[in-house]
Amino acid sequence: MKLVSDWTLRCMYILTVVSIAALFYKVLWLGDYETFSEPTDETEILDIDSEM
Amino acid sequence: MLSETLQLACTDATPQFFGLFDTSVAPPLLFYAYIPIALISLVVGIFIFIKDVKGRSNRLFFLLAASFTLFIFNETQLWISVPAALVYFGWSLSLLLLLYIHFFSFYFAYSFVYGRDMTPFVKVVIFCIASPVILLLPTKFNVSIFDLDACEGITGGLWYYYYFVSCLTVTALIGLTLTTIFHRIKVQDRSSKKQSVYLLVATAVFLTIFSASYSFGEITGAFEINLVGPIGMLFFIGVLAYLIVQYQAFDIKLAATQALVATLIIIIGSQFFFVESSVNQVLVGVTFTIACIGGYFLVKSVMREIKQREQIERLAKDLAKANKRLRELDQLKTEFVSIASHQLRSPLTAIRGYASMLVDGDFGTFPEKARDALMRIDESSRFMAISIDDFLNVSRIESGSMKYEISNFSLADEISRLVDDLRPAAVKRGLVLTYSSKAETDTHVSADVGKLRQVVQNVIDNAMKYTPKGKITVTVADDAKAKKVRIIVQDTGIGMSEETAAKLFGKFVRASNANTVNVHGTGLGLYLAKQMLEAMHGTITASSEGDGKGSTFTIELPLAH
Repeated sequence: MKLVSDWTLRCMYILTVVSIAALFYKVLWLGDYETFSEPTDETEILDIDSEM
Repeated sequence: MLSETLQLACTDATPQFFGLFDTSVAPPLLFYAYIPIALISLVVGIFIFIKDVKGRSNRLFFLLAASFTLFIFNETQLWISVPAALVYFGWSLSLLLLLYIHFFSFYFAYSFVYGRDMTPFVKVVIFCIASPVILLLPTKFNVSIFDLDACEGITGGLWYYYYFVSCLTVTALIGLTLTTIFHRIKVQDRSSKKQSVYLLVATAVFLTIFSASYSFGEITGAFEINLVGPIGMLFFIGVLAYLIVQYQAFDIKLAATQALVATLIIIIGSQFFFVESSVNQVLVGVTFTIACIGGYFLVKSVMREIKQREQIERLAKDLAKANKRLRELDQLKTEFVSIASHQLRSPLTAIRGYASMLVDGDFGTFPEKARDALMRIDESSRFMAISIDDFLNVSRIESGSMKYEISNFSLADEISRLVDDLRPAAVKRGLVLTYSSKAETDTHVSADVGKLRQVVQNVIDNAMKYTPKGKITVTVADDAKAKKVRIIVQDTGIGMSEETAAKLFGKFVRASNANTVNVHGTGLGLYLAKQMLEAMHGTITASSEGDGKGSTFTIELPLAH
C-alpha cells in the first residue's frame, strides 16, 4: 500500500513534466498547431479579381 | 526553430517590449488585481513553507500558492503576448494549472483537517481523475484551433471535463465540511474543529468563485470576467490570516505579519514605476511613507503581543505545575494525618481505659495527690481522643470517604435527650442549660442521627467552654412554610466580633479571645460541624452582638417530606 501511496502522485508529477515538455516541443519548437484568420475585405477583393 | 515559430503574431497587437509583449491590450485590472494578489499569496506561501519545511500542510499550501502564482503569470502572459505560439502555449497550459490549483486546494484542506496524508485509495482516485487532463494536454482536445484575429484559443472538449472536475472538487470539499461538522472526523478539540470548518469553507468558496468566474469567462468569451477569479484567492488568504492570528495555525503570526507588510510596501513602492504625473507620484510617496510607518508599528505591536502571550503561557504552565504539586502534597498530608491518627488511637484507648480504672479505684485506693494526677491524665487523654477523632474526620471528609447513615427521626426529641445528657456537665461548671421547643410540626428530618448529635453536642460543648457564668438555652423551632427546622444555641458567654464570626467555620480557626477561657481546642470542631451539616443539606451560622455579649449558633435543616 505504501508503494502505491508513494508512487501514485509521483507518477502524476512525472506525467505532468512529460506533458508540458511535449506541449513546449509541439507548439513553441515545431509550431505545430492550427490557426485561422477571417479573410479581410482586401483579400476578398483580390480573390474576386483573380476569379475574373 | 523557436524564433521562427514566434514570428506568427496576433493581428490585434503590436509588440512593444522585447518584440514579444504589448501591454496596451491588457485591462488595467490585470496589473492592479491579478499581480498583487499573486504576490501576496506567494509571499504568504513562502513564509508558511519556511516556518516548517517538513510540515505536510505547510508544503501543500506553498505548492497551492505557487500553482496560483504560476497561473496568474501565465494569464498575464496570455493577455500581453503578441506571438500566437506563446499565447497558444499559455492557453493550453492554463488547464493544467487550473487542475493543479484544484488538486492542491483539496490536498491541503484534507491534510489540514485529518492531520495526515491522503489514503492510497484517495490518491489513486485523484490520479484517475487528473490523468486525462495531463495526458491530453498537448492535443486538440485541449485547444483545438487558434483564432489569430481575436488572439484566442478555441477550447476543446477537455475543458468541459475540467468543469466537471471543478464541480467534483467543490462537492468533495462540501462533503468534507459536513463530515467535520457532524463529528465524524476525530479532531483534537473544539478550536481545531472550528479551524478545520473555516478552512474548508474558505477553500470551497475560493474554488467556487475562481472556477465559476473562469468557466463563465471561457464559455461566453467575455474574458474580463476571469479577472474576478483571484478575489476568491484573496478571501482564502484572508481566512488563512484570520486562522493564523486567531488560532496560531502554522504558528507564524509574526512571520505572516512581516510578509504582509513587506508585500504591501513592495506593491505600493512599485507604483512609482507606473504613475507619471507628479501629483500621483506625491500621492504614492505619501501612501508609501504611511505604509512603512504603519507597518513598522504593526510588526512591533505583534512582536510585543507574542512576547506577552508567551510569558503568560509560561506562567500558566508554572502555575499549573505548582498547583498539581500542591494537590499531591495535600493528598500526602491527608494520608499522613489519617495513618498517624490511627496509630495514636490504639495506644490512647489503653491509656484512657487504665486511667479510668485507676480513678475508679479498680486497682486499690490512691492518695489524694495521685488521684488528682490520674484525673488529669484521664481528662487529657479524653481531649486527645476527641482531637484525634477530629483529625480523622477531617481526613475522611477531604478524601471523600466519610459515610452518612441517613434516617428519619424527630429532631426535637433527639435534641431534648442530648440536652438532658449534657446538663450534668453544665451544672458541674455552674451553668444553667435549658431546652425549649417552639415547633409546630413533629420536626422530622432526614439525616445521620449520630453525626447530627455530634455536631449539636460540639456546639453546646463550645457554648459551655466559652461561657464562664450564666446560662445556655437550646431552642428547636420550625418554619413549616420554608419546610425548615432550626436548632438555636444561645449563650451568655464571651461573645465575639463580627470579623471572627465570619471566619469561625474555617479549618484550624479559633476566636481571638478563645485562649482567655479555654486553652484546649484544635479549631476543627466548627469546621467539621459545617462540613457534616452541608453533607446533610443543612447550614450553620454564628452571630454575636460583640465581645462579652454572648453568642448565638443557628443550625438549620430541611424538614423531611
